[in-house]
Amino acid sequence: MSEPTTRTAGASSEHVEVRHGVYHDSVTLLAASREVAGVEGVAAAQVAMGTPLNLDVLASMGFALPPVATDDLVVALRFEPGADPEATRETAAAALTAALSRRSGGGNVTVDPARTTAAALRRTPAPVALVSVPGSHASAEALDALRAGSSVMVFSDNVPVADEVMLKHEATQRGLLMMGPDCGTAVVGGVGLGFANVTRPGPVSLVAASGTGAQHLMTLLDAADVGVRHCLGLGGRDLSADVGGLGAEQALRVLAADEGTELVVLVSKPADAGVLDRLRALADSLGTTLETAALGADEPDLTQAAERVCERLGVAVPAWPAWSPDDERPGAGSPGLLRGLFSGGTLCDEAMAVAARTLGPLASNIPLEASWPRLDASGPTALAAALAGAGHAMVDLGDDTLTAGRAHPMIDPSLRLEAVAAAGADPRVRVLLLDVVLGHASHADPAAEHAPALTAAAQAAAADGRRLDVVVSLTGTRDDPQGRDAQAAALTAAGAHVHLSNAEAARHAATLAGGTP
Amino acid sequence: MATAAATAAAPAGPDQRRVVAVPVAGPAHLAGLLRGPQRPATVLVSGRGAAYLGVGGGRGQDAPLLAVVAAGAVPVPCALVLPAGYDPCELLPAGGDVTVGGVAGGVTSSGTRLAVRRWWSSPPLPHGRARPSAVAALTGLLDRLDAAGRAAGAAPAPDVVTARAAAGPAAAALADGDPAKAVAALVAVLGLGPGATPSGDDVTAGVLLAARATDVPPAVLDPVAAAVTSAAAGATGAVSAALLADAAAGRCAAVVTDAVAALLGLRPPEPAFGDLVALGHTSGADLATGLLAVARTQHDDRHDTWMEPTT
Amino acid sequence: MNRQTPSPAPVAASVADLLAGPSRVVTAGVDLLADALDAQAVATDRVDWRPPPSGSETALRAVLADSRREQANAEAVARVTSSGAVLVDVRPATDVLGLAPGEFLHAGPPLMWENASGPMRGALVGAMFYEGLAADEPGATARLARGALDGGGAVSLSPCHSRGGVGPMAGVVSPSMWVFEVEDPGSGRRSWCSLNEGLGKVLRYGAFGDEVSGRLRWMAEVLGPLLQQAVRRRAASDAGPVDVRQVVAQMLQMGDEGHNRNRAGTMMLVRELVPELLELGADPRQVADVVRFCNGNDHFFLNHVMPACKLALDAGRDVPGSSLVVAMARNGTEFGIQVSGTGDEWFTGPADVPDGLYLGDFGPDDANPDIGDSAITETAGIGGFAMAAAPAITAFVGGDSDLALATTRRMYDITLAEHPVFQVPILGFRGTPTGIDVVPVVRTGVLPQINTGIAGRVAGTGQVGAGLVNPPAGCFTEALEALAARVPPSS
Repeated sequence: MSEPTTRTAGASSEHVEVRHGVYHDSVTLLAASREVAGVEGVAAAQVAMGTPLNLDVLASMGFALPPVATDDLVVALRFEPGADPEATRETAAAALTAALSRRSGGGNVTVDPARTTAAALRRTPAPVALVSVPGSHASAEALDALRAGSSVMVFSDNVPVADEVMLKHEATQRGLLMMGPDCGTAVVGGVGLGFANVTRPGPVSLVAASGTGAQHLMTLLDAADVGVRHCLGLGGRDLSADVGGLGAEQALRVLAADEGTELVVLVSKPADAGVLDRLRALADSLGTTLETAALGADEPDLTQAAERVCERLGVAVPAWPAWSPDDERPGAGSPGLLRGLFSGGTLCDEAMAVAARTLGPLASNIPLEASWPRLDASGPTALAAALAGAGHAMVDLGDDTLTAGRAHPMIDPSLRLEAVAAAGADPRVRVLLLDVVLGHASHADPAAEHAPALTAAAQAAAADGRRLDVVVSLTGTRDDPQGRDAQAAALTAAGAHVHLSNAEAARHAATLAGGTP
Repeated sequence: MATAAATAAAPAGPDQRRVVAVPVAGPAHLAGLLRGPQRPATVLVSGRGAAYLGVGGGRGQDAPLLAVVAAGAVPVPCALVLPAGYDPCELLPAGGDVTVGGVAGGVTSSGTRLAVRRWWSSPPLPHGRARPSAVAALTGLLDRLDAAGRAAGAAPAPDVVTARAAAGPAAAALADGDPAKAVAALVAVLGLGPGATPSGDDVTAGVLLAARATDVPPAVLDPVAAAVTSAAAGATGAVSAALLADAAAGRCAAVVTDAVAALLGLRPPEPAFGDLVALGHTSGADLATGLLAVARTQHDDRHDTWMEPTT
Repeated sequence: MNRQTPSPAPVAASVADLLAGPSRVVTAGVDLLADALDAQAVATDRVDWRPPPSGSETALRAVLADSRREQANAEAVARVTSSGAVLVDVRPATDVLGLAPGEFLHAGPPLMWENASGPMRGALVGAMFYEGLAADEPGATARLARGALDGGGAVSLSPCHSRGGVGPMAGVVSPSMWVFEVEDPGSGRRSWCSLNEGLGKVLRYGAFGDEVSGRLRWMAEVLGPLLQQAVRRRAASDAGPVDVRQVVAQMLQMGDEGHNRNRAGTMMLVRELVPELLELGADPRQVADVVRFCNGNDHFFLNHVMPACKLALDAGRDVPGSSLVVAMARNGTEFGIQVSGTGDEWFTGPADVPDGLYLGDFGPDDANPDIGDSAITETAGIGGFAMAAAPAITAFVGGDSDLALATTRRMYDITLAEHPVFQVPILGFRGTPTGIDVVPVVRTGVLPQINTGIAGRVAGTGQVGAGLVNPPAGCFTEALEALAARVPPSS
């Protein structure tokens, strides 16, 4: 139980402090960094754990660093010219202390909380643990849960695939669910774990290897008044040959024993064919009705999958909600480039598949086909340069290479706001396509963050004598904390065309880019 | 404790009051009410475990009942479930006026809005045939309870005995396909017995739930359910009438669903039966009496032991 | 990579609770995700997670993935908690261990004279005097330093632990000293511990000279033989031998924790032995001296508790794959631990100075680093681990009753079991946290809590205080590495 110790270094215009024996998660530290950077007299600030990645970020900011271990906390400040370094440092330190001691929500902070999942479950059992510690440590916490007889969802990524297989075997042998690793979304009995929308219960359960794909399908089914009973997440690798669908098999077994589930939909990105065959055979042997929505260039999109579910259940397929901009301009305008800026990888995949039918191959950092142009997205700067020279393009801003040192774009839209501004200034760009994902854990008011940037981009284009249309794919339900309809209203007020269906949004954007109404 | 948390979040005193949102889990089948047009409601009953709100007067088909229950309490099907640390009787004092629905949705009382942040539904009622061994187990449990009560000098009150006696004839009438006779037996005991949910109402709920679970034909059951629901509105308290209407529609608390599942051999008898009879003062035993009466007429002796599922 | 798919178990009961909408979720990691649950009226139990020391990740993963570990730990700790301990004999060390002149045993992990601390050196000098191997301090020191007696015989130092026993503080045992023997009736295995000398100028705190040697001689001539007769007589009686384990269970319910507070235990032992002593027909004055001596020392029974703990922990040794700690011991210079799955290997680090309360004018500058085998009590789930049973101890080691409760509660997080016999009344008679697991210690940074006496830094000063101390964290990371190295490749 070592006390925190502190070492400081740096020039007088800078302050670099290494604290030992302190740990905070990256989301908390990113928020703290922002608060410290806002202190008067601070030109730049970064507060981060000493991981190699974070040290690169600090070095790229120009900070000279003393030796740092991965479990050290680094506080790096650069002062404005003319600011009093000592006074500013003190104010910044106070701001940091306040930011780090604040625990939002809460109400459950006990004097002496458990330090492992095993200890917490030993004190009070719970049916599930939600693990989001850094990937190299996540397996230990997950194993704790399984060995205590609890299911587990691992939100963390970068968990070795061998661990994933080991954990999923362990879960199966104990009759438990192991969701993840890299599982962003689950809904169990109406309770959302991770990024999740507020849906009413219904006869359909999802088994999902794609988080945003599952969220999108859930919101469509909610809009169709079908409702969703459970969404069991798998993690992106489950349906690969390496993992072999171990998580999906167990999810199917669990749902087969679930009284209220009438239909199971398997949602995934392109999956291993052998694994899919095995899962279909297992579903047959369990007597489970299984629909698959495996995205791919020639596969049905999620909207079509939702429509198929409606048909199977004998529910009328609704007209998917869409909202027109307050100042809708008539006519098609001239053709131009399409820029898709996505926070959800699956939504980006789907939009590319749809748009490619009219626009041909698109450039992307996650190209749908190997033959399509690949954008260099090794960092935000490289991406901006790549986009400046690209044709029709769609970007997954949630890709690992772009989220280093910042939170996921569903939480922190700053990277996308920069890209929106860049698109507004690019005379070749005709249409912007964005996804906005609502629900628990997402940004509290994404429309308010995006609206000014969208308005500014359109105005910049107009001032240049151009027309820039904005199409938004809005994944959300009316019961989401942000309120789907209120968000749509704020976005249409900023001039956006808003669609609940991502496929429809992509079609709309492709049509506008192609110059045909 | 609840109001402490609520006022801690509010910045100032009464003169500068603003509405604090408390996240709750809402009953999915009442989503239309909770996010529909704003309607006035009254707090009919308020206790530490639960408060009951009567919407639009609290009686009749268009005036549904909403419960607000503390975390950890047994949620009835119409319950909004509070987070831990909130106390229904502090949030919603008896006799208070509140609104339901409106632009913001949920339930709003002075200073607090119960905002639905997830939907829940009571587990679906299982279907099947009753197992004789399960029937025997629950019968034995009720007999032992009764004997223990009498030994302690607490024989059931005459009203309770009368109410429970209606279960057998009602079940027999349902089995014979005679809805009118079933209605006559059940309506006679509505409101009979002490407490917020009188024995007659609980016995009736048990009969209706077991009949739904054992697939009594709709042509027989539906008229009985409708007649009982409509008669209850005038014959018993608002809270009990609303819970009976839920039972008529096949909705009940999870503890009752579990006991039904145990009667059908879908889960082990314990702890399901023990949890059921522990409900309330006589409520659990009254419900069990109703369930058993129907189960005795609808049992299946082909598969007569509880078997661990192998999937 | 994809191992043979295991046969699936039936869906667990907890999954039904999950699918009904969990009312409670344990969260480990980013607060944002726990906040999202709070915002849905779902109770969250937030783990105060912190990363293990950098560099330990690989070893942790290997040990956690070791498919033997869960079963091995269950087996090892079950052996520990089911081991009995009855008092069967009192004999000279040379009879029990076959020690030759010049052979000395000491507390803690292996030690060289050059590295020995003040009290350890003092105790060794005292033992040289007592055995008649040196007449003065320079002579004794010279022989100990060169490792040879004048006649050419060797002077050797080995840990008590290496010979199946334990010794408090310096723990120095020489051939002519007497020891208690306890036995596990189930297996017949035995362990031993020296006789407690009482307080004041005593060998175990590094004192030497005529007073020390004189008392040791009385212990060998009067105390040892009388206790031997009484213990043997009792063992042969219908009542059978004194059940040390049962006395430990009772003392925990009487405000003792079995390491730094042994008052109730001592009284119970004396109560058991006095009738036997009276019936020996020995000189009444000698019997009275013996009873007075035992009664006059609240720690007399510590020297029974310790070998009982040692006996239990030795039962847990050598289970392949087990990460159970089977010994924690200090030699005044280093702190060392041994682990079930790694044999007799010691994992050591520099011993810390206890933090506590000092007697009289003594202060931290007078304190020697942590010393003694008595941490075997914590290893076995009592002592500091049972502090909640002994709130009065806080007046002696510092802190308050809240600290005592918090300490015991915290130890559950790093232990494998709750003791079936040793119980804490204030915690609803919950079993004491028993069986330290190396893995959660490394993962959480929570170190075992030891209650201990503090020896003076200068040889012969005696006890200067009492307090709380932790092992160095490095012992546990080293042990983890060794466990990882022994994980079979196929596991």
